Amino acid sequence: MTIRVRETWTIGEADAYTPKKEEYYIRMNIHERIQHHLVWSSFVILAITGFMVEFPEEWLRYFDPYRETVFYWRGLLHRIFAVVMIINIGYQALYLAFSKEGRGYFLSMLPELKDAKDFFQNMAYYLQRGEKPLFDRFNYKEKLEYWTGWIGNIIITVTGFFLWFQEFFPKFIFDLSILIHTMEAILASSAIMVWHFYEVHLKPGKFPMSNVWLDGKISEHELEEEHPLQYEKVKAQTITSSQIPDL
Amino acid sequence: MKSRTNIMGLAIILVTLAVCPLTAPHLMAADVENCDLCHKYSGLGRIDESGKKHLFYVNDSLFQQSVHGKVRCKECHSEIEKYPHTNTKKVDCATVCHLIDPSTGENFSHATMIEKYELSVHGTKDAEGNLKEHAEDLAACIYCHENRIYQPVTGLAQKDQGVAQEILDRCLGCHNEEQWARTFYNHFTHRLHQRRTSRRMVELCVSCHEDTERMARHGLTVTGTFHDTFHWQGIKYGDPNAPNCITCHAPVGYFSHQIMPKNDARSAIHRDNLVRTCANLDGLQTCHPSATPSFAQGKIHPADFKIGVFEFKMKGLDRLRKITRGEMKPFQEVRAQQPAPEELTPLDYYQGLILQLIKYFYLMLIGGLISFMILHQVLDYFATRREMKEGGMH
Repeated sequence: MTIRVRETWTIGEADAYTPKKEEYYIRMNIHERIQHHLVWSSFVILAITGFMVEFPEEWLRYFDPYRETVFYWRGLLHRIFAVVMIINIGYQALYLAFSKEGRGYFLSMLPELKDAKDFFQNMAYYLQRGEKPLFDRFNYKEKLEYWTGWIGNIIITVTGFFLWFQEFFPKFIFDLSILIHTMEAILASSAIMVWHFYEVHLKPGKFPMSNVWLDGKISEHELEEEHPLQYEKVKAQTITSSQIPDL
Repeated sequence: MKSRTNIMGLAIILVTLAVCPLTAPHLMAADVENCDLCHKYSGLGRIDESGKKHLFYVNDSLFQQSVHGKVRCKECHSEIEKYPHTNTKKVDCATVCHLIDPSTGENFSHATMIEKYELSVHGTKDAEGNLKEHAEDLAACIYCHENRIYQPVTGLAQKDQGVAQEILDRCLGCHNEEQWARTFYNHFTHRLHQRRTSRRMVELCVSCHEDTERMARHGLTVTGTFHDTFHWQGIKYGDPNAPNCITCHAPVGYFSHQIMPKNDARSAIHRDNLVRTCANLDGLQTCHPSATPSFAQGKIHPADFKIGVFEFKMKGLDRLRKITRGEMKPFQEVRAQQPAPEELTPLDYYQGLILQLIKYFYLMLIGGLISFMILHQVLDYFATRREMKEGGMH
């Protein structure tokens, strides 16, 4: 975790136009941000082009008179972005395996007993029966999302592969694949909409969105608030802002 | 009563004479029997004893453009000797008419086609020539064939509808009679393409094959689940490459009038012929050219294990409404779509079972996980709001 300084302006105060220096941390580095951009863009396109197959007939008249063309591009785009998605999985796997930061990311993401304890403690906290648990770099919500993402991605890639090259496999594999592919897509899309969109867009204080996915930066107080254990570790390891030269 | 008929006849003739000059001369030319005299009146019809409406109006200009436009009325309605005429019999399509079939030089008839059709699964007679059970359910000629208007195309590459004047002019270089050349052009190019779109074809076949009671009488399962297949998704979007019923049940080398039961070796969907049918190497559509025997097996209209994502709620509500009104029994649809147990091989049965189990597993997983997530986030929302009120954050 590197520490950086950025200039911020406090609006509405007397010294509104004098820049203030605020400390921030890099939560998503450039690799992670590129991976995230690839995954969200391909996910959106795959979801739209995929669910188009399920559209009821009445909706299709909006495509007239380009239905046929729409159908052709739907299939083509779905395949192109499936490849983008798969390449991105490979990119992430290589990143996790072969870079120092990636290995650190992977190790912090591994589920541990603390996550289960955190979950119950957090439930108690929600019901006003206890203290808020102290989270490390990734909390149980993030870990759940990350690992279900991996599992779902593998399932949907394998079944998608069977669907793409259906002729070389038994019909039963095809039936199985089309069922699982659809179901997994429904599960993934609804999970993203409920779990992830709330966490980074709709949550009070986050709306309209958290900026981490764009610039990778998290402010000191946010880090302290949301990931106190990591904050403590980082604080102990890193130099303070006064010690680094001006950027 | 008789004098009244005469007066009516006279009135009709007078009116006809008055209107005659207004009618286009070339349309009148074909109607040498003058049936148009009465049948051109759009109100001509009657309601029979059972309350069924019969319309006897013939739109002559449309009839001229139809595939039978060159055939005179009496060629088919041959028992009519005088007019006004009484009840006529249903037309027998096997009637020999006075048109000369240029390929044989003999009078034309659909009899050969009907003979072949009678031997197919849709024919009314069995192998010994006895009438099948529930023969009235089986489609006769006119169930599928209304007297179609010609749908000529202007070329092979771009199959736009219409007559290409350039091509017609080539015919007219030798053949002087333009009306004849035009009809011949229509006749020929009408056959160059499948005149029903895939959607119309499916609608036609399922008009019987989705009728639960009718299918039950013949020991068949309804084909409603075709709408769950990817084949149908293609048709829905108007993909010309998407297969309709005929594409698989009567591909190249087979004939739509000779569809056989699936256990018959002459059927395109017989176990031994399936690889060739799925590959469809000779057809105009590109299907599954590298189909293997293991790919070409199993049910293509399987029992309902797919869920509609956007239609699910609507379908479910509709079903519930019907059940509460007593129009439908619970699970009736599903039962009708399930093949009879004795028809299934053990492999099919267990495969179906696995698919069903996976479907229910996923439905529970989606329901459970998403409900958990919603509940969790709602709790988180209120906790965060509390936190903000207390000023602990931001």
